[in-house]
Amino acid sequence: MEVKGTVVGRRTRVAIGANVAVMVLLAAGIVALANTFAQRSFLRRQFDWTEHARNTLSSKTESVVRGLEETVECSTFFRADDYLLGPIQQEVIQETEALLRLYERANPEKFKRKAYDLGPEGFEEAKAKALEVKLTETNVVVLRQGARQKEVRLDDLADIDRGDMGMFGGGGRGPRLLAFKAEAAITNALISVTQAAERKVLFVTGHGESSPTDTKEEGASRWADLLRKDGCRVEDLDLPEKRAIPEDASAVVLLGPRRAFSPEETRVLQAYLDRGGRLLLAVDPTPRPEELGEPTGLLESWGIKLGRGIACQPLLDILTGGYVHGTPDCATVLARPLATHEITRPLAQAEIDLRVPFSRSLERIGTPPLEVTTANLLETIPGSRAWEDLPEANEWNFQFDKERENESVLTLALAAEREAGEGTATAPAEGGPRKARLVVVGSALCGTNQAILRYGRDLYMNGVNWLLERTSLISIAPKPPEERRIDLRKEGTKSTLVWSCIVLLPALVVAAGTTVWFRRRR
Amino acid sequence: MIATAWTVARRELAAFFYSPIAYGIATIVLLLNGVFFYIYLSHPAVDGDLKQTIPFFYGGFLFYWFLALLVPPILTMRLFAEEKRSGTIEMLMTAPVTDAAVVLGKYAGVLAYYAALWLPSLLYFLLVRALGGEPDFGLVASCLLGTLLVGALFLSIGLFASACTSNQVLAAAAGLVLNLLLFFLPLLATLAIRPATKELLERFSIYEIVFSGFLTGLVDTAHVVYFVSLAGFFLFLTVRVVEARKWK
Repeated sequence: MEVKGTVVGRRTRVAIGANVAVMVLLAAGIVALANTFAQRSFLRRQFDWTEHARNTLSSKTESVVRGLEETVECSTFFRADDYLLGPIQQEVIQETEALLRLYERANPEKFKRKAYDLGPEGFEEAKAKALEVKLTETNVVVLRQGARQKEVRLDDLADIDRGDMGMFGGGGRGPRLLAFKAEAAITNALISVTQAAERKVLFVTGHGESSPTDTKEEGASRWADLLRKDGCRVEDLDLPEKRAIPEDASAVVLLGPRRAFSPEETRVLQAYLDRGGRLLLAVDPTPRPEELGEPTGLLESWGIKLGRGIACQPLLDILTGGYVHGTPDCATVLARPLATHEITRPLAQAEIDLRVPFSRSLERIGTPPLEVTTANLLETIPGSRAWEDLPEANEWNFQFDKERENESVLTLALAAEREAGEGTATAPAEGGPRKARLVVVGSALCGTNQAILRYGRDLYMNGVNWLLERTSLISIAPKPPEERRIDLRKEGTKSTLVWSCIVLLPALVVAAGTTVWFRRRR
Repeated sequence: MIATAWTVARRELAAFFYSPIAYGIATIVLLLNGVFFYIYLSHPAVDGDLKQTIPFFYGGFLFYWFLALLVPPILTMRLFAEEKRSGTIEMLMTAPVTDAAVVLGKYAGVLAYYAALWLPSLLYFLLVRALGGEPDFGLVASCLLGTLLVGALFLSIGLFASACTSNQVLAAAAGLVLNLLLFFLPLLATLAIRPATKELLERFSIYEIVFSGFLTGLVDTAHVVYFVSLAGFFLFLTVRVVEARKWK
């Protein structure tokens, strides 16, 4: 029997069902709405609970990232299979990825991050992107806005003590992380890509120099590509024809002149430097200084002189313990970057020695002129010598005299700076009086297509950035590595952990359960 | 309603602590947690590094997700299904308490028990500190919060599954399937053709939220809202399912 008011009819049930369905949809809508609002930056709040605020960007970075007006694409190409630096490299990569997530969170609309997988699964996608950004190496962060891009490499992200293999009887020392400086490097790269004005770099031609449009081995198209990716406009300048350096030139490069400069051309270069110009001069051991003509005179006014001959080092024969002389390999010398100058400081701090092939040495003439500040950038390791008998028909006569040359060191690169004269060239990057700057490198070969990626990249790119006053746009203190480790080798540590975590805690629960069970039985 | 919900919660919690099964589950969870904590800490690649061990332990490794996905449906399976099977649900429904208070009370009880399963992990890090290590307790707190929020969501799903059936095994299986479905959304994301859909699905991936948020020590209000709102939604559904009995 159906009692009215207690049993629900079919129509009522349908109505209730529809009501519930509407309520469920409404609740789903409220959930969706709540999450949409929660994702909005004006409502979203993040709290860093870590002891040393590892997840908090510096205020400088915050303002740069939040102030982005156009989208910046950030691509990472990391691989953690470097066997020498394995765990350290992995730590740097993980920290960098975590840091980039903070950048993305600070402005998700304008900072787009993508990590490319270099393993088999993501290889095709990574390869396509690598070709698009003209990637030349792995373990880099690429920041890109429109056609402008900047690469941040592993050495820029962290200072790593690469350790000591201890091959010859030494105990050896593993690699370790000294400081994590990725935030400064990435924020500076971001500023370069988004804010810094485009700089014009001119490659002088007309005396047999390497040209930025030449893709052959002796050309400089690869270096020009690197400079373009770094936000520079690269053009060549036929000095014998133009006989002037344009006012808008930010820096001038002379890469491997082979013929003499006319006095007028030298005057043009001198006048450019007097106006606060920026010049990078790279000269191979050949031709001899006297064959190059006036550029030598130009250098002398800066207290610098081109040395004669080719820098050579004997090779250590691992089997006999003796030295090998007289081979072309002796002319690829091992050189140490000096920490005393901005150009080579990052390399020195990372303890990276450079191999420099076919280089001449450079000398300082007595006391430099008062207004010039000169610094050595690159010195060979002791036991080097400038061999003046240039090889003929690939015959290398270099002989190493251990008694005489064991301690001799050659300078392979120099940087100099002095106050500009009247009528300065283009305006300085960040106010203040503009100084003329000069970088001289003893090997032009390092800047050519055949050697730039292998030997010269760091030196030449840092050199140009110094000329352009772009070594560091802002400074953010590097974070020291956080050591939070328990020494498991200490006696009793492992056994205490095993007994407490694996035995004692579960046993307490079993005891409590058994007690409850017995009490309830009674 | 709060007072009645509190009464129900206390009753549920007491039922847990009087049940030998609850002690059995707690023993297994603590034993496995202890074993895996030691394995992570002493692994040659980690070598006592607490920066790696803490995130590993609270979600960076598969084992955690095995517990996080499996334990909640086991805990919630009996909450409504058992009451339905034994008929005690009728007594509860005729008692002067609202359906919402019953659901909230049961949920609060099981959530408290779930928290009690994970809180002893704090002792591991106190022990490590006593042995000379320096764990970042801010990071531990953030990881624990993430664990509780993940548990809160999966427990609400399990409670909903339990309210839908009178068979405990079916309730546990349904809860597990729903949990897995929600957890494996990133897999769907990889199949999504439109980048916008893919990005949306990835943004709400539980693993991604835990991995890039709580495990790094970063507590994000958007992440908290995500877990709380979804848990609230499933509790709302549970109330509706419980309520539906009256109209049948």
